[in-house]
Amino acid sequence: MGWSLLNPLIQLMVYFFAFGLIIKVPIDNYFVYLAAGLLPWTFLSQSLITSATSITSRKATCQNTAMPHWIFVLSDISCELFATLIAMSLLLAVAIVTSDHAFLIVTLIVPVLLPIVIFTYGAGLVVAYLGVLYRDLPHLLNLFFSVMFWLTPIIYHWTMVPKTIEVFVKYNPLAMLVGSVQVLLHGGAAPTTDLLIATYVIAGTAAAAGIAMARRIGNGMIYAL
Amino acid sequence: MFGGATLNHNGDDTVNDMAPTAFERLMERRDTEVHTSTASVSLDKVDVIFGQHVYRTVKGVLVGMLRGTPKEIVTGRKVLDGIDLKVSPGDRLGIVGHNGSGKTTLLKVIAGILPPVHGTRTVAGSIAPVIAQGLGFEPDLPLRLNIKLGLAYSNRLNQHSPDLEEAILDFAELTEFADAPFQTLSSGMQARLTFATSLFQTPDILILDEVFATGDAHFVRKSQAAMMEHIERTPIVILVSHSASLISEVCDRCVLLDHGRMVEDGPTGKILDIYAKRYG
Repeated sequence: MGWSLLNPLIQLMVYFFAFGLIIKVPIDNYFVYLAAGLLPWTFLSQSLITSATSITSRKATCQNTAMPHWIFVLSDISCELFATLIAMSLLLAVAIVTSDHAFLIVTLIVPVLLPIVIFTYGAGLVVAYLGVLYRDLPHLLNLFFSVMFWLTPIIYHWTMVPKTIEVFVKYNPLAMLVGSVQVLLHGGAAPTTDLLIATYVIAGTAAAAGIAMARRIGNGMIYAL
Repeated sequence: MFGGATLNHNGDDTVNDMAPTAFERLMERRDTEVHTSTASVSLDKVDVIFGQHVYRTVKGVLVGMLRGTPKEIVTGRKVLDGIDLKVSPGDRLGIVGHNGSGKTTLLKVIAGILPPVHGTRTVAGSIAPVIAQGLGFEPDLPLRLNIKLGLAYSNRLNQHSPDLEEAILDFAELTEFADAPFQTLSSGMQARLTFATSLFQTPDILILDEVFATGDAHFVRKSQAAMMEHIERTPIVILVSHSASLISEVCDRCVLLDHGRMVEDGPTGKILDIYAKRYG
């Protein structure tokens, strides 16, 4: 629990040191920009990597109790969410104090964060069930997220991406989820309706996939544990 | 409400270390009209197959695709084969059979832990499995939190109260270790806590898997007495045991399993005779 809170904060410091103070990425108020991207990202990626072992790590419990297996996924992600919300409220306080758009930020922060949370729970369920069948999924996800971290505008701004390689960043659904938080907290503006709709579509798809899998599979994965 | 009666009872019976007050109070609240219960268990052509679903690695699958090795066909082993079973209120059902005949698997299907691979399971009423391996306790957490966890795992977190916690610790004789991590207990103590946590509930269907012989002689005696009281007041009891004397003491009906098939179903005496003749 403590580590879940400390991990993003330390990361934030280190990235700010390297990219804010040394490389000097030309973005105003870089610390808030970095935090607005990094906190949702860490929540999302850590949650999904943990979810991949949510069921497999509880083999004994699954074999001795009739608990629905999806509970373990929800429990693991909720733990991450709790730590993220603490860090997020610190960031929110900074953003409200330093921004001229405090009212907008307060009004829109929940509708903007909600798709990320829904997406993570939904995708977490999918990953957890797949993680039972493919035991190296956590390694694969680690690799996936370390690649995606650099393909998502968190350290840099999407306007800095050259047109020729824009395609790598433009259609990245994770960048959309994170992007709406950056627009609100750093830009002090409401995300465009298109962006907001896109994030809810992404979240809805992940949730539908997760719920469908949980209903269809039930506790059937116990035979593969 | 029941306090007076309990007190009286204790006063009369001075050597009453067999049934502690908290447990008695729980039992007194119990509806003794076992036969008016609407609880039931029904299995229809249930198959359980082990080893059919094997886990792989993404790496393994990719390498297999590159090499063009054909996907191995996994058939698995039928642990339960076409089980049809109906249990009604008042039934005390014993499950007997040789090692590996599927007794524990059948219990786990009834308890809802293993979903049937084919066929259907229908259960009416609340169900409490007391299965020896434990309730999924966390080794690092103190006993109090593990009791809470045990309640959550058996879907009765809403019944949690400091009183219940004390009663469970008291029955397990572990009050002094209440805040110690679960893993610091000896295995006998762990078994006592598991047993006590399972004991303090009033289900419609009680499922027992060889749980009578845990701990030292004193605790075994005490838990057997408590369990017998429980069995008397529970509408449906399903028991797996290798002890013929326990089965004949508790059960009025038995089923005999052989390699996953239900080969006999009838009164206890008759089934135990058949079992002794065939396998004894």
